[in-house]
Amino acid sequence: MKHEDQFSDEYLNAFVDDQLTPEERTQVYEAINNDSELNQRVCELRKLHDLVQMSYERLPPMSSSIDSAPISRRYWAIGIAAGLALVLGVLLGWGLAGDKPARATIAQITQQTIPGNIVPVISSKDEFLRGKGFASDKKIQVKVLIHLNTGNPGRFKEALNDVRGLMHYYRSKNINARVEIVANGKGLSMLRVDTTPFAKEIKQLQAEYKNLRFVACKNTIDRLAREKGIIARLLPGVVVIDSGVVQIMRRQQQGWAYIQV
Amino acid sequence: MKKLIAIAMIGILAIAVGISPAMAGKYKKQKVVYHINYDNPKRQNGALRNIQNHINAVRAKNLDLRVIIHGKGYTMLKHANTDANMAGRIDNLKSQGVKFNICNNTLRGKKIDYKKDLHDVSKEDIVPSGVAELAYLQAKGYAYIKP
Repeated sequence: MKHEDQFSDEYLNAFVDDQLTPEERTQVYEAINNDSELNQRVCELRKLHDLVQMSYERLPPMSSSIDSAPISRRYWAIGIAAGLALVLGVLLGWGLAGDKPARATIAQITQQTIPGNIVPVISSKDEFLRGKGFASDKKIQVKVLIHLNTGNPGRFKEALNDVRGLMHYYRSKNINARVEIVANGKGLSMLRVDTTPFAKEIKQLQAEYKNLRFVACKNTIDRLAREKGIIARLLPGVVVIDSGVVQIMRRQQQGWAYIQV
Repeated sequence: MKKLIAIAMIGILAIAVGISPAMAGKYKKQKVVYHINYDNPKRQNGALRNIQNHINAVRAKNLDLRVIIHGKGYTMLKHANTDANMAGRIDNLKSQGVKFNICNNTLRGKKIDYKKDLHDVSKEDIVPSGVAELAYLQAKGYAYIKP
């Protein structure tokens, strides 16, 4: 799909500045999911946006601009500024004092725009990944997502030890848990048949704990194919999801704990 | 002209009145868990500095801050035995109410004698599984930070 024509830079800027309607935002999010080029563009714009914002935060207050106005207008300017300042101050104070962390707003936005169900989960027969069913499953007491983005075998080995310890702990305490290990970026190599030194350990863990899933990021798989011509063959039992990062966000919204190893 | 100045003053006052309570209350109570599982002393020191900055911004009285150490992170408490600077940072944070917890799986797996090998660890500081503790605290509403 080509989105070059569909989304101009202005439009994407509006998206980054959060000035689109929820419907428009959803549309962009969906397009991003299907188009890595577009994804890249949005990333760049967002970076730029953040940089601009950061430099604005460092600017001194804007009162000095009044000095350049002709004398006769200055008092008017002060009057208007005072009025505006009054409104602004009260609004700002009210808004800030409202004690609503920005996160809440972000969560609302993302919930609107990235519902868990638009996701093309490849192994849809996998009950574990059909988010809806077990997100509401009251019997599950703990849900943990472990994020692997390291291709360093030493660190991965540590991570596997952690996972083993965790699973063992939950079992010994009779705690009904779900644990998902999400590998993206360089972490994917640890789940690939021809690159992982840990096929045996992973197989063992899978066999021993049915409430544990190894999950691979499709974005990374696609990128390997596109950029390096590598067709990633995954270890048996590894489940593929659309995007590791989106999965992490989704799970946190569903009340999962997030741990990066 | 005096009128205008008066209006300006009122405006400034309004900003002050509007913003100051908000700023003063910008950070209310926070529950945070920091995660350390790496052995690079530079990164460990950086993490300790982050925590101090966090306290400075939010104030110790508003903060319930836990540090969960597992895996290779245990070396931070080992370094502190020989590195007075690191020990000082840790002690200083403890005096401000920060709790350091270490994972029992790690102690067992790496055969660590916490009394002898680690800086200032007592029995109450040990949790059965560092990773399980991280999950547990998040379920309790702690924010997760990995510096």
